[in-house]
Amino acid sequence: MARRNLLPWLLMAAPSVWLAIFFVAPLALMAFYSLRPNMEGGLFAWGWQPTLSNYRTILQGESYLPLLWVSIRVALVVAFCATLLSYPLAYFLVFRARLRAPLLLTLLILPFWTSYLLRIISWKVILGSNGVINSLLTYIGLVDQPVPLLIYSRLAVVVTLVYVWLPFVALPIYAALQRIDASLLEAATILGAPRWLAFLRVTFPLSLPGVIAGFFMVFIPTVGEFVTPLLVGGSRGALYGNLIEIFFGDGINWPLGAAMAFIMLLGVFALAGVVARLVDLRRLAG
Amino acid sequence: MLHAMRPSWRVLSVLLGVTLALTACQAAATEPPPPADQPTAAPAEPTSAPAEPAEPAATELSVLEWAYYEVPEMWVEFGQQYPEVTPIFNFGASDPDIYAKYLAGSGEDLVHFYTPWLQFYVDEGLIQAIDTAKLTNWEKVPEGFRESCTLDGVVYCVPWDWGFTSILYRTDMVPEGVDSWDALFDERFAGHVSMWDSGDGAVTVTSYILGYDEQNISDEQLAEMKQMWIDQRDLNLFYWTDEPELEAAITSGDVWVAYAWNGAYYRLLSAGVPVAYADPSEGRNSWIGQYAVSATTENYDLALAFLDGKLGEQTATHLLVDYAYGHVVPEYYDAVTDEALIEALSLNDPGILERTNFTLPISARDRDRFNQLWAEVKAAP
Amino acid sequence: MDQRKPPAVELVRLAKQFEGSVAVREVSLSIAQGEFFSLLGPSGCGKTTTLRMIAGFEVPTSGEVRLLGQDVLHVPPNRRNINIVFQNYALFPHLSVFDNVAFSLQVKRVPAQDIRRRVAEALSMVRLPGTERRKPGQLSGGQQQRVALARALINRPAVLLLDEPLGALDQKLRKEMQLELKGLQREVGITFIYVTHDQEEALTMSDRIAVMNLGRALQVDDPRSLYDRPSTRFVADFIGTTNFLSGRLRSREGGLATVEVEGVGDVLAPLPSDLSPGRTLTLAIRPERMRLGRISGDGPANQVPGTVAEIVFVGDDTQYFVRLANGERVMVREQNDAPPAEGNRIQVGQSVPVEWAPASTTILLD
Repeated sequence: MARRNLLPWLLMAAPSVWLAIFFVAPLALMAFYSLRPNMEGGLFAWGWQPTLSNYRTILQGESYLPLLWVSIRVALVVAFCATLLSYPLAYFLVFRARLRAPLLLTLLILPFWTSYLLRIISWKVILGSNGVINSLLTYIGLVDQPVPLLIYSRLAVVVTLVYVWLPFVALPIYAALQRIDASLLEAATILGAPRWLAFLRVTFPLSLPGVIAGFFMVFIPTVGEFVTPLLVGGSRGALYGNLIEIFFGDGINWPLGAAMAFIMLLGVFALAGVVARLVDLRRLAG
Repeated sequence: MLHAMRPSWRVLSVLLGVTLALTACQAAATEPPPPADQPTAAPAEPTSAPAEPAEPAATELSVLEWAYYEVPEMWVEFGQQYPEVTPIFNFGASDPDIYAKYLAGSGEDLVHFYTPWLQFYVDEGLIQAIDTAKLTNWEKVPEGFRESCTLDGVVYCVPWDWGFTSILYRTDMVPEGVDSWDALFDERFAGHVSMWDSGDGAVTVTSYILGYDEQNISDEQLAEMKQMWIDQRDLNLFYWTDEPELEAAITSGDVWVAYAWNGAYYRLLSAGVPVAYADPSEGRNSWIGQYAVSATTENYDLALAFLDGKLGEQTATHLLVDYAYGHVVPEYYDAVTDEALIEALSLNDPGILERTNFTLPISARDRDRFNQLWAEVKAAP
Repeated sequence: MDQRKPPAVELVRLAKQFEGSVAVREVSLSIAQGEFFSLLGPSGCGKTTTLRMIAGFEVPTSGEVRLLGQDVLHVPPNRRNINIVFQNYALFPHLSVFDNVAFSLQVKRVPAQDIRRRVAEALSMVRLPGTERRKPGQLSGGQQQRVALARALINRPAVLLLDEPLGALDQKLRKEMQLELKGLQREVGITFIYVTHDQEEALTMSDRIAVMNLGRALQVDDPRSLYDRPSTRFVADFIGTTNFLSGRLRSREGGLATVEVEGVGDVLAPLPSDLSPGRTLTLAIRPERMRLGRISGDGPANQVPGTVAEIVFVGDDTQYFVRLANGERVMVREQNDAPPAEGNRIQVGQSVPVEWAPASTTILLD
């Protein structure tokens, strides 16, 4: 009896310790850092007075919080587009590709075996002023000067991120769709539902957990994204993550960076809370 | 492997796992080190037997260095003098990275950083004074370079590599030439300007244009600069973070006018791109690479010997010819015969250093102010 | 059976191949309206594929499916006026019991009030009133089964297909549901086509049964005939328990054949058709038709000597395994309908004659 009760705890011990060391501890350290007035005294300084001055700096800065709001909106757009585009992809893989699905799935995630930077740079090749698209437009005479907006803009950031995340969203949707028992769709069919109605009333609702998982898998990291804006965002494509990056990078101002990261964390939590209230996740799970 | 796969949950979970693992690796590779990061594997320091003061007995010397400077050509004289000593190199990717590592206690005997980072190392007590009497080549270093290592009369570092910062421009797109840092703000070049992604760099440029003292910038002056850079975004195509990115954009013709180091100028010139390097009326800016000795080193004399060797002729020649960077001892410049390199380092212009502004040390407080300026520029709607 | 009514379902030389393997080989069947018809056979025999072709989920490789006299090859499942209860019930897990049962009515845009009434009726028909708001996951297996039935019947389909619907239930609940299903079918008068591998289940419920093996319908008959007059060794073996004896036709005399079973002796059996002497054949005799050492009634009897090898007491009857002179074992089942007589008990190792009436012998020709 005792042994049986102990086993789950033992199994949970390893991930708990892992989480404690690599998630909770750094988070606590960040919180701690965000209260430091500055970097004086090195990384492990003691004897400073905790202060909220970093938070004050952020709240008083005229464009920091608006940029967070912009970043959240960009993340929503990216997550929405990535989900919208990857759904048909996953649907095709599950219901049409059948035996070829494993191969196609492998192809789908194949780009992830190459470096992220490489993929972004290849987008520069595609979108740049001498890039594939502009060359084509110039060649067919649609434009006589390269279209500059394709790269170095917030639009380019959105397009690139949607591309980068597409397979990430496709995977959970694929999993959710694949879990749907084929007999449920047959049941819907024989109960008189045409294909679109069977999709609307059975397939889609049952795939929602995958859709929501995919959406948030994209939304949450995109709010803090900084690499893509750096590479294709140009002068006006920065996201909130770029500010954090400045203070943890060149700026060597970890306290301010930590405070910024915390404000972002709170923002995302608040938003997730609102969503959880609007959408009853338990209901979707069935 | 593929034929064994079935479209099953198990396969999918494996794929997911792999994907997540890759993402984690990627994240780890792109994010700055978390504060919990332990000091990066410091070399086994010779903690044992106290060395004879005059004759260093240590067999290892550690250096926190930038990539490509670890090759023996970059320390020829030291290698000849101390064949029994193995220099151990640990690497940093950028000045902030190196500073953060050193701050975290990585503890190498020597550290290599660039202007204007000296002051932070001194303020945090990470490095110690240099006994210049022990450097046989010190007298060959011109006064201007020596000053860059001197704070309150104390020499804290040995200058070594240097280069210019100025406006690099396409001569075909800007036939009239560029004679001021103001070109970065010239509306004629809208959409074809590229500034370096740096708050310090931005303040330096606007200080030159506005004639302000970089080391004494008031809040009003800072606000003025911020607005300039916010408005400049309409002209600026992108902020460059590494030189290949900038060079590609200049070569393609996307960028006509850019804040750039002379290395980029040299490479583009060698590649036949029609570019010129401005000699602005406000003066060029110059950066200097500096080596300092750890405050806690047990190999002080050996470290100084290493730095003295850095000032030697063979090492200097390799730096000039192989890497196309300037060396602080002018008497070695005769070794350079490459026209493009002579042009890039302005070795044919004896007055150039007189007209050049060397990057001055800044305080940690100013560093924070300048970076907040840069963050606000990027965040501005 | 009304002769003017077209059969509910008619299969004409229906066949299906899956990538080289043949699942169904030219099955022809006619199922009358209102009939409880079972497709019985071991797994892989093609019964489920046949069912799925009737439903329209699989396209036949060749042959025809006719519903009420109409060829439905090009009619999609949702317009065949049939319904199906799946093996795993296939209830929509995200919908309530009400929405599950009401699904087909909602699709047809039946007025909400009618839907409510009919759902309530359907649920009370399957004895689950008041469960409208539950989710399928909150119901027991038997209850889910009933919801699936209500959902399938609410639209009054002409034919209801049932694919091993009781497979997931425990033995006791299964027996209950068998009777209930049969009662329900009689009550609603809808044609049921029931797929099962459980011969007892098929015998209990069906009006007629098609026994299938390796893609073929071997015999289609009512339960009694299937049991008493199996046409093939497979059917005889699959339905109930049967003793088989191999022999050779020696002579015929009127309706009776004399068959020589090597090493055992001659056995009399009714002759089904013209057979020439010398032909080898198989005799099938049900264990409960055999007796040890005594035969009830008059007339000629078959009697062969044997030795009791094993005795198994199973409560309502006792099974005697008897080794015959040729080494083969037969099972003799005797009902324990009287208290055991003292001193008259049969022991293992005892020599006994095994007797049965010639009429209880079936001649199989394969």
